[in-house]
Parts: sequence; C-alpha cells; structure tokens
Amino acid sequence: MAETVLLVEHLYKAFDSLKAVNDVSFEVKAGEIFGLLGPNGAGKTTTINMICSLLPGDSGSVSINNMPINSQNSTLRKQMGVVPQDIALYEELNAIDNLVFWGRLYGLSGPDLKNRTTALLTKVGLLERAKEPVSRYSGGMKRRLNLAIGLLHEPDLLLLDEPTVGIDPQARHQMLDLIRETAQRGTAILYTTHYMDEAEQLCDRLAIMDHGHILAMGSLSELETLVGERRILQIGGSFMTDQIDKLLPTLSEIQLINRDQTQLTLSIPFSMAIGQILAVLQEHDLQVEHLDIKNPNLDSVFLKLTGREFKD
Amino acid sequence: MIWQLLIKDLQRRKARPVGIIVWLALPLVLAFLVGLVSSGGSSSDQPQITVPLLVEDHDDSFVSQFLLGAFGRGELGELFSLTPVDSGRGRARMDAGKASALLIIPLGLGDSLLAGKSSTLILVKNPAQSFLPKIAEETVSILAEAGDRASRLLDSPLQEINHLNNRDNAPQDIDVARIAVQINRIIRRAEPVLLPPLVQVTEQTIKIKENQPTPSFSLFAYLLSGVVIMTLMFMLDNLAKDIFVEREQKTLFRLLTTPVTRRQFIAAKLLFMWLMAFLSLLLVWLFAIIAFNITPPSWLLFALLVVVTTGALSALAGLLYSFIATRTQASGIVPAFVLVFAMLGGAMIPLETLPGFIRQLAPFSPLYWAVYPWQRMMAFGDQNFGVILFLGVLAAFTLAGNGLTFIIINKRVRL
Repeated sequence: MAETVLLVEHLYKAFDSLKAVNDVSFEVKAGEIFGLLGPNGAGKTTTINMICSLLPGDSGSVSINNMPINSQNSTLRKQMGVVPQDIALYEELNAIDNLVFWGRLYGLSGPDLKNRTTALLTKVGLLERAKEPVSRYSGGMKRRLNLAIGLLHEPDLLLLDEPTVGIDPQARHQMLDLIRETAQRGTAILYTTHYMDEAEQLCDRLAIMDHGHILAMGSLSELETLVGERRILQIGGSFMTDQIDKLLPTLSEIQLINRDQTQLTLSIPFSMAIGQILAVLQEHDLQVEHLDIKNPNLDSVFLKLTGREFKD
Repeated sequence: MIWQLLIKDLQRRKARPVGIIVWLALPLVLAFLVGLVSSGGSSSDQPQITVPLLVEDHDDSFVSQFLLGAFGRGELGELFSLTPVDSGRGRARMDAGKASALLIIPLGLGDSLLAGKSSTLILVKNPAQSFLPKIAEETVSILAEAGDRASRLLDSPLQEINHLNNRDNAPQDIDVARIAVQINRIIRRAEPVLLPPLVQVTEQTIKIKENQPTPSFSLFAYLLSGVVIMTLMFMLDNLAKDIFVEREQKTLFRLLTTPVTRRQFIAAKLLFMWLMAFLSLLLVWLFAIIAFNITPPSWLLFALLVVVTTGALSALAGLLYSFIATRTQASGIVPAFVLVFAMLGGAMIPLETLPGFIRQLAPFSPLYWAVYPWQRMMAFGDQNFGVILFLGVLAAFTLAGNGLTFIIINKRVRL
C-alpha cells in the first residue's frame, strides 16, 4: 500500500463573501496522479496556493509526508515541486541557466545538477536550443521548460496547475508522457486541469470541483457509475414551460437534469430508444432543433452533478 | 540563498547588458560633458554677463556723478548696464523683472561726504535673481568703501572745499591753489603706501605634483557631485522596479514555492541595488579622478563615502518603492520625487544658484546629505566639513532606511 504524501483536510478559504474553497478534503499517494477537475473559477488554483502555503487558509489542514505545512519550513518545500499555471521563467536567461538557478535553490549542485539538467532538457526536447535565451522560445517550448524546472529536484510531491494550457497536441503528449514517467518513479502528483480528455487519460483518481466544492471523487470508472446505465440527452429547441410540465409525467423512466426555454437536459436509460422520445416530443408539439447524446464520461458526470455543461 | 538570487540578477543584467551599460555610462558621459564645460573654451567664447542696474540719483552732486562714472569706466563699464530712472519708477521696473538691482543715491550724499558725515546708499536687489544682484551688491560695497577711505584721507581739504562752496562768491585762485597743494602733499605722504601698493595681485600658474591633492576649487567636481547622485537615483529607480517585474512574470510566485523566503528575496533585491549603485559611483569617480586629475584628500574617506552614499541612496529608492503598488504607479511617482529631491538637494542645479528660500529647504531633501559631502571633499579638497556628521547621517539612513524598506515591502508585496 503506497504511503500518503499529500493530505488535505477540510480546507476553507473565502474572499469577502465568495467561498473560493469550501470544505475540500483529499489525499494523494506516492506514485498516484490525482486530478482536480473543474471549470475556471472552481477553486483549483486557490487550493494549490494553500497547499504551497502561499495563501493562508481560513481553516483546515494540509500535510506533506505527515508534516503540517508551514511557510517557513524549507525542508518541506524541498520535497515539493510546483509548476504554476503561468509560465514562470527568466526570459533573459537561457534554458540551462534557468534550470541551474532553480536547481541550486533546491540544494542541487555540481555534476549531479549538470546531469539532471542535460537529462531533462533531452526529455523535453530542448537540448538543441538550450543555450538560447528563453525569450526566443515558442509558447510550447516555454511550457516544457516550465515543467522541467518542477521536475529537476525529483520531489516527493509535484503540483501541476494546468501545465498544458495553450500548447500544441504533440507537445502535450510529450508532457503527459513525462508526467506519467515521473509518477511511475513514485512521485505523488496533484494535477489540475479543465481538459476532460487529459484528466481521463492521465489521472488515477479524480475530484470534480465546482464553486469551491468537491462534487465527486474517485477513479474514472467510479465517477462514471454516478451517471449509471444511462446516457445524457440534450435537446435544443423552443419550449414553453406548460408544454414541458405536461410532457414530463408521460416519460416515467426519464430524469430531468435541467431545463429552460431553449434546452432540455435529460438522463435516459440505455434501453430507451431515442426515436421513442422524439415521438413523445412531437405529440406535445415541441419543436426540436438539435439533439446531442452523451455516453458516460467525465463530461456527462459533470453535467449530471451540476446540471451545467463543463465549459472553459 | 541570497547569494544565489544575487548571482541570478547579475546574470540577468549581463544577458541584457545594454540597460546597465547605459546607466553606468550616463554619469560618465555627463561627467565628461561637465568637464569640458568647466575646463575648456577661451574667454571670448564665454557669453558676456551684463548686470542691469537702475539708478535713482536724488543728490545729483559731483560726488554722485563720480560714483556713477565709476560704473561706466573700464571693466565695470562692460559689466554694468546703467539706466537712470526717475524717482519711484525704479521699483516698478524691478517688479517687472527688468533689472537686477536698483541703486538709490539719497539727497545730500555729496554734502555729507564733504562734511565728513556718514551717509547711506540704498541698493534694492531683485529677489527673483541670485547671482547678478550679488555682483551689484559687491561692487557698490567696494565703491562705498573707497569713497569712505578717500573722505577720511582727504578730510582737511574736503572741509575747505565745503567751506568755499557755502560762500556766496566764487573761490579765488589762491584758495584753489592752496587746496590743490594740500591734496598733493597728502597724496605724496601716502605715496609709499599707495604707489606701489603694498598688496600686489599677480597671476601665476602653479604646477601640481602628481598624486598631490589639489588645493583649489574644482567646478567640474562640484557639478559632478550632484549629477552623479541624481543619475544614481534614476538607476536605482529602474532597478527597484525589478520587484514588480518578478511579480508580473510570476517568478516571484515560483520563488516562494521553493525554499526561498520572502525576506531572502527582498534582502537580495536591496543588496543588488546597493551593489550596482556602489559599482556605478565608484566607476564614475575613478573615471573623473583619472581623466580630470581630481584627487580626494583622503582615500579612506572616499571609500567610506562611496559605501554609505550608495547604501543611503538604495535605502531611499527602496523606501519610495515601499509605498508603491504597481509598476505604472512607480513610473509616475518615483521620478517626480527624485526630481524634487534632486532640485532641492543641489543634485540637479548648484544650490548657490537657487533662491534663498529654496536653499533653506535643502536639508529636508535626502539627496542634499549625499551631494554636499562629495562637493566638499572632491571640489574643495576638504576633509573637515563635519565629516562625522555627514557620514553618520548617511550610515544611519542606510541602516534605518533599508530596515524600514525590508519591513514594509515584506508586509506589502503581493504575489
């Protein structure tokens, strides 16, 4: 049984009346990639900032390797690698100088630092341009270097805050491979993202976050069971309230998730034929303009949990 | 950790050297230009200074004519532009800024002088000007002194002239001849003293031995003392912005997730500012010393002054930034403060050229305390100008200012 590296318990943080993080608890074990999934503004970055002790929480606790975090504790900070959402590099310096500087802050030096620098530059595909100032790099190259800095000192816990934002698919695959490889070496990884596909591909366990809450947590298959043996049907059109009120009692196996005058979101059993539903809609003079069917995935889980589509 | 942060900032400056070269070169270029201005050019190249002097002559005697005639002869004639004005109009022209001074010769000046009584010349100076009224004041004082000495020396014949003047009939030739002989005798008696004069002024060019402190005043060093302090402040303003740069490019956020503490980050920034200012000030003065043959009277004093001056200036820049929230604010507010401090402290324009009320404000400008000791030491070759006081003030400001900056920025700096 892998040991728990990061333990977050009942974390709260409010900015005036806005509850940015509201009773968030989870743990990440060694070698595990734990995804924190949610739309922008869900509270993911605030949670990461509290784990880094850059932002004091209102209540709750965070511990790393069974030691409570403290902004003055440099030993704990050495056990942690952070890849921030924004690219945080010294653009005047080249990739080697950047890596050497950040490595030295973590106590690395000499041949060890040099070897790690070369190995990482090779892995992120920047070795050939390692002596160029970072200011000349493309956005994708900067992202890869941003990730490499977080991996350099081989931390016990790696916090990745949306590390693949704005990069091309090829570079993204390269980065995801590197993250998997890092986890296989035993590093606990907390990975925040708003890309559903990325979370599905990469994460061993996931927490879905919205408005500061964790709505659901578990492996991908566990989360998908929340939708059940059902699929999500989104029907677009023009619907009067009284029409829908009359329609709903006639569809006994259907669960209404959300409705307004332009869209109906329904959860339907796999066994139910779509044609059957359309026929009923026609009987009630409802004009259907488009139809969207979602099989169980994180998107449909989010839809089921929030009644909203997962949007950026 | 502070060392690593310091090295990183040096590397960043080295990677983009243009900025730092400009800041290092600016005082050197200014020093060179100031040097050229203060040492080069023939007298014919110099602009002619003329002192506009208004005169109200209420006496209109031969004595007042003699006095005014002195302003029209020789070098005084070239220096002064004399304009007679009617009674009461002189003040109006002064108020309009059309003259540097107004000389009022009171009624009865001639009679008083002949009678051996005291009399007063009134000189009204234009408060809006500094140098030119001073020249007028000095010249009138010298002429008044000369008139006073002449009246004492020729007291007896003057009494006789006065007596003859007061008679109804014209003086006879015998009386005029007697007085002339009397004056001639007095002058002859005074001849050993007056001709040749006991005090002679001769112009000599002396050779200064190498490495020997120059005893004379150096205008170049005087002006450079101010210019370099002002330039340093602008350089420090630029360096202090780096706190905001690191915040904006998110490296500050990342640094604080590493074992680096907020305090170490601020300490490294302040240390870097001091180091750059130290190197800059040292380089400028070494250049001036080599290129313009200026030697400090004491190398120990020079070294101490470099250390505490740059420490105090870094603290001042840090303090200004302690109350700034964004880079945009800094770009607007800090240069304005620096310019005001430079103007009041004599860093931009020599204090002597400023009106008296501004000179009185000088000690309230932090830059005054940095400029003045450099002027005294490098321009006047003075090492006894209250050195302990100025060094002490600068050292105390270095400690207190940096300490305060450290505390405030540590509380205020946001991610």
